[in-house]
Amino acid sequence: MSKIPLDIITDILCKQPVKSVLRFRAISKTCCSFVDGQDFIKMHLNHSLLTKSNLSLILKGLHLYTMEFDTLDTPLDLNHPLYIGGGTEVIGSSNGLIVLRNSEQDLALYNPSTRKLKRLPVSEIGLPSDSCSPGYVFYGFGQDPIKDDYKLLRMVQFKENDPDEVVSSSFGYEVKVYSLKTNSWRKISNLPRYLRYLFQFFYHLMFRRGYGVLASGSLHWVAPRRQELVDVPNLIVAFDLVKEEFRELSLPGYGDESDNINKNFQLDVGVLEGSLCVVCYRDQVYADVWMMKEYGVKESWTKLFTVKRPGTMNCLAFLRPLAYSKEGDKVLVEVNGEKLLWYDLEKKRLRSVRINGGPDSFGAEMCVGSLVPLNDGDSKIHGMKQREKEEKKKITNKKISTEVEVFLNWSGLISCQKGLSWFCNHLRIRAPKGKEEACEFGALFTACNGECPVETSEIAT
Amino acid sequence: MSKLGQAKRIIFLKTADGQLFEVDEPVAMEFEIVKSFFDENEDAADDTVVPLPNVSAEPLAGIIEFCKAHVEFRANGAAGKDEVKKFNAEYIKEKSNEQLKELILAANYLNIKEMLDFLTETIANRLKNKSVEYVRAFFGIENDFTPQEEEAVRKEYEWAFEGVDED
Repeated sequence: MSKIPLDIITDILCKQPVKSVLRFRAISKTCCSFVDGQDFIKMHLNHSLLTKSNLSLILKGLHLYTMEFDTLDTPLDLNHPLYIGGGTEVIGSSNGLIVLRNSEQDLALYNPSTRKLKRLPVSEIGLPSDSCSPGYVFYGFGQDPIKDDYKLLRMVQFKENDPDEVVSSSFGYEVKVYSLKTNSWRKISNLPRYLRYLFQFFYHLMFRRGYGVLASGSLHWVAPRRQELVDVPNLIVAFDLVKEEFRELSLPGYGDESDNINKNFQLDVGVLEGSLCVVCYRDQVYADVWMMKEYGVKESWTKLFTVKRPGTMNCLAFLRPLAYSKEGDKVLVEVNGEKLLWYDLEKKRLRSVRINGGPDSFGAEMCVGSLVPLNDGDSKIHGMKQREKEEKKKITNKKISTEVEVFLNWSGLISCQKGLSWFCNHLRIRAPKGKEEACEFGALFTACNGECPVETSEIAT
Repeated sequence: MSKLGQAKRIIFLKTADGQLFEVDEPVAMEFEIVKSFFDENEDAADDTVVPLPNVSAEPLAGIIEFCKAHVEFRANGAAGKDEVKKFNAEYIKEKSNEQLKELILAANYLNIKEMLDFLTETIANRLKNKSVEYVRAFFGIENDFTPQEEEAVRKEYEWAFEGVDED
């Protein structure tokens, strides 16, 4: 029987659903430590994101459901360890991880594909004065792509218990960030002035319960225009997960009627395939979806499409773009928190998605199936070092084993002679000496790559 | 090199088992290894026979069939359309695992990215609901776990072993 090269096996494993990868860990030791490694986890994730495979929707009602993006037909119960009979909320989704919330004291990170859960340490809310109590709590969750960390932002707004007293803007909010790598919360100081505009009656109802929208490594909220404050238009407030600081983002210059729209129109932020969007509602009949094609560049705001209220709906008040179809000709949208529709970009028509069962009303969250682990960084690194040491020991003690072959093939070192000494150094094995050992190496190279790129005489030196 | 007005160029390929194939130039150029052969030997005579010592006749014939169809799809602007999906589905329908493996090894050697991608996708689909034993045998991987170790690894994600197809 012919032997399949390792890079092809890798390729095939990358194309598996998470459940299958977890099963195939039992194939062999090499296979197990390979698919547990950071490189494979990233490759697998990137492949899923690129090809929109392993993609599902989480439907958030009283109970949580999950539904495959490929079929969009039957929602299944999302069983999770934080279940308390209903009412668990999902705060955001990033690279296959979601945050589950029962209360401010009962939060957890969860990977629904690997079913791994990590409860977050409780961080008490520090009230600025005795007469204050916590008001709205806003959350946002996402990846810090630079540190490859996952972070949860919590903003607690304070309200005065005495209605005659005005809340001082200097202590309007408490903002804290949780980091998975450090497994701790950090308080953010120097809050910008505009954060106090991040409030409106019914904000939780109108803006997806106040959960930040993740795009380009930042979380986003709308600070809605204030009718009583003439000079304050709609704003986008962004929190940069890398720098851990707030920023304002410019809105699209909607064309001729820009003034009109900025002052009178209801806005919301959304995300489509990682790009920030704003949805602009006009007269409860139209919703314009704009996309910031190049993050942070005002001129790159582009109007993607306009949805007109279907005759069967009383109003069009909430619309969230979710995902492009695999062919890219349609966009899946959630409307009024209860319906999924396909918007055909060419025919400019809406088509209902018929779902069997599931919740009556829901917010939908896109979630990719991934192997991203939840162990905090340190113990993971420690564990890997330990394992590496053991592997090295094993290799030094016996002749070149399959691990070496795997390493050679995946590292791409086989074709470069310089790589050989590096490789020997790295694995703490001595470079082959003498004709016999050199031949063994040569044979290994041949087995790996079809031919020996290094002259055996060169190896011997 | 072919010139305007000339009849279309034929590339000669010789397999490991000594068979000679005559392939239209655009189809043969799908094979990265053949393309770079001619890129590197610009003055190669038109009747140069390119040796393919790692490919035998049966998979090569299958690969030519696939690439020929896809070159035509691209020329007709049908890439990505239903027509292509239908052809691809028909193409693999009757192929055994062993035949797929031969094709993948040949496509890997010839370095045909599009076809390789399609074949790995096909195999991934065939394997995704299979048991560990089945996949082990398919890849020819030796099980180096002790029974205790394997048991422990299986226990970590017991639920991932439920709902697996019969081998």
